[in-house]
Amino acid sequence: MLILLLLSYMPSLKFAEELEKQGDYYRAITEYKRYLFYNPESDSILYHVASIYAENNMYGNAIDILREIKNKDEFYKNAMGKYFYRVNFYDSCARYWSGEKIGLVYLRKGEIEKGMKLLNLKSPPELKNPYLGVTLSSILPGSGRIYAGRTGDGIFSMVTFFTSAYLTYKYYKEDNYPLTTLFGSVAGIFYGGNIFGTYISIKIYNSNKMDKYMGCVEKCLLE
Amino acid sequence: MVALFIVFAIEQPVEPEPTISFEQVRERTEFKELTFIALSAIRLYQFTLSGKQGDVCNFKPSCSRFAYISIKNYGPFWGILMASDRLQRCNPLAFQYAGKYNIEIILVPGEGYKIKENPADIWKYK
Repeated sequence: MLILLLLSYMPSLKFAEELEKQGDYYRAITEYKRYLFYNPESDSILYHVASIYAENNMYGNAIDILREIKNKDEFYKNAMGKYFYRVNFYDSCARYWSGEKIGLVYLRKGEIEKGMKLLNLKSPPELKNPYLGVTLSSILPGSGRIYAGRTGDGIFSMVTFFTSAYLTYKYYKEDNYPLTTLFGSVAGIFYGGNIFGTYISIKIYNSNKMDKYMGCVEKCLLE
Repeated sequence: MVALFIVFAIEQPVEPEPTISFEQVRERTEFKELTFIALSAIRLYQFTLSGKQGDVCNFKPSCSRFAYISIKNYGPFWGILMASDRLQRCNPLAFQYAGKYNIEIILVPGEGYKIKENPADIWKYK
């Protein structure tokens, strides 16, 4: 009876695969791990479990699983590099990759020329300089947003800042210090927010540009 | 039975750890008083003026909710800057950036079309 019970508890790959097919990834992984407990040498199952984690954006777990692999060959290095790349750990990624894939790391780290050279890319992505945007916004609030391509936001920022600044000046002239303090604070907050927003807008713009630029290259090298 | 117990004890299924962002687990202790004042002011606005103003915000969560979450999660300095930036972007031209700048437009039942943007969506670019 005891042996029967034990046998019934033995893990089954088919059951795990069935759970995976049904989309019950958590239980499928548990079954795969149970199988791995009895068959620890099975690297292909380890790779498979890691890929399930990766499909569910749990790259940290995928990396932990891959660390258990005994045969650390080129395939292992590629997989480890890919998962580190996905979580933006580019330095760790560079330890596992070699050749043209390192070009992806350079591009993501902002070393465009090095990356382009390794990947044989002809034209650089058209990125905007966030520090130039911040400088423009500091000099004339709203202009940095226009530089970032958000003309409407830029005009609105100008209007909000200059209105509050004008009210500050007006109440200061009238010796109304409570309202001067209030509108002065509002103008200051709008000024700071405008600089911050310009920086973020340019970062988002550059990130989108880089995604488009690298999309095809990444697909070819990582899939 | 003992053998069964051993088998279960060895291979208990362990639930994978949920992915928690750094901001969620970090406890902000600095500027507690300023945070309290800022959050109270936002709550006061929400309970008094916001309702009278009606549904005028282009974003989801609304600007006041965005400000509240930002200040609570990232402290008063960054929170106020993020809120100020959001207020300047909440204008009639906000929808023209759909398809660009990672802007996602959603249909909120009873409220119409809104731009979905959480503080974490902005913070990750900082």
